[in-house]
Amino acid sequence: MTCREMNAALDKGALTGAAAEHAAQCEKCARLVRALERGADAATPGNVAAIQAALLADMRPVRVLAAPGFYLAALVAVFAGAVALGIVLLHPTGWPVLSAAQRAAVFLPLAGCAVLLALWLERQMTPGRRYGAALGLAAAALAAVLAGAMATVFHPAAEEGFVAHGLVCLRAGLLFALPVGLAIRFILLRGAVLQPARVGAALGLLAGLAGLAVLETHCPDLNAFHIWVWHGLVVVVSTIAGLAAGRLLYKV
Amino acid sequence: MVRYQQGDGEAATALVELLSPQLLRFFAAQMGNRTDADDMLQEVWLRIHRVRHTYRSSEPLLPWVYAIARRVRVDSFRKRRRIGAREVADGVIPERAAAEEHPASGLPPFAQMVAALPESQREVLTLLKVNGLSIDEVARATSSTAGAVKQKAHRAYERLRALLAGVGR
Repeated sequence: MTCREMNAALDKGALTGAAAEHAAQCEKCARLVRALERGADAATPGNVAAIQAALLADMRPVRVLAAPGFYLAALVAVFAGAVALGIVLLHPTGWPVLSAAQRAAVFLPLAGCAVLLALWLERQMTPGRRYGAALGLAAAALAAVLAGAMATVFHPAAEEGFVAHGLVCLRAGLLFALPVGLAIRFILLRGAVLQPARVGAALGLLAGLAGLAVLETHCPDLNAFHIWVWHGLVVVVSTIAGLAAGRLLYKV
Repeated sequence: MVRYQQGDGEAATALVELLSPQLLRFFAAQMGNRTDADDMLQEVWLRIHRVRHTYRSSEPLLPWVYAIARRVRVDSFRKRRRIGAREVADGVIPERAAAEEHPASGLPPFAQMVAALPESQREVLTLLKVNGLSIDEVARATSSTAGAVKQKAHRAYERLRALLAGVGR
């Protein structure tokens, strides 16, 4: 066994077999093992009684969080409900003008990213859950795919009233993003968020994606500049607002 | 923990007694200061109490506890840094603590030894070696992946081997 292979054995705790043999022969590893064992020295806290008294002073039964599926369903329902409401209220005039490729390029990564964000957010409600990091990375990757897809499937064109028309879309998108963000925040407050800034940004991104989905079904303007700037700004503004408001989620 | 959630005071006191020494070691090994560690221990129990409803009995307890403890440590570190920055601005230069003497083993105390490691490696090593968590539990507690935890731990071992080679000879 080499010192490098010894590292894997050290991860497991007590050394056995080949690892113990190596530690007996290799001076460097023997010193490391002895030094690491010193970390387990006993420590006696002096304020246990005070802590127990503080806890007992506020002892009452609590209602445990519902199953993860409940909160995941709630997050997805908020997102889907807002998009459905947007389609009903604003009319899907943009949907017929989109080609099949454009629909697939926009809505598939958008839906995937929304589901991953909902999964990640649900996991952030409980400390110490598994796969939190992997889901967060996957959601960020799909958000990048969505941005890339939107940058390639639409074509730039000259447009009159670029700002005036754009502001209407920005306002409409944010108007749908805001209640989604508030509703998600309400759900997340039931849990214990330990990373308020990241969770706030993810919340804002999810809300912004709801606004973007509404705009992509409603707005018939296929000018790439209009979509990149004004529709994209809905997601950017919403994410930044979520990041800034992250502290409001901070309960722990 | 489930009985604690149901309002059983005896269960709460038993849990505090059971986990406090481990938590104290977690804080002391990383902060190297017993007074700060005691303060953080108190703080972590108050936070655990506040969010005890978020623990699900189907999940392991230790990653849940240490994820909260980790947050307390980060908050405390930031607070100390803010206060430290103010003290330096006032012209007060803190005296460097005298290095502890090596005990009979010829090895430095654990806290002093891991102080030479980057924060993320120190945290992983403490959870693995001081608190006895498994790789998977550390990954959960630190919102990381098992692969990333292993990588940090192995880098820490390499660094400590090099460091210890020059100690007590």
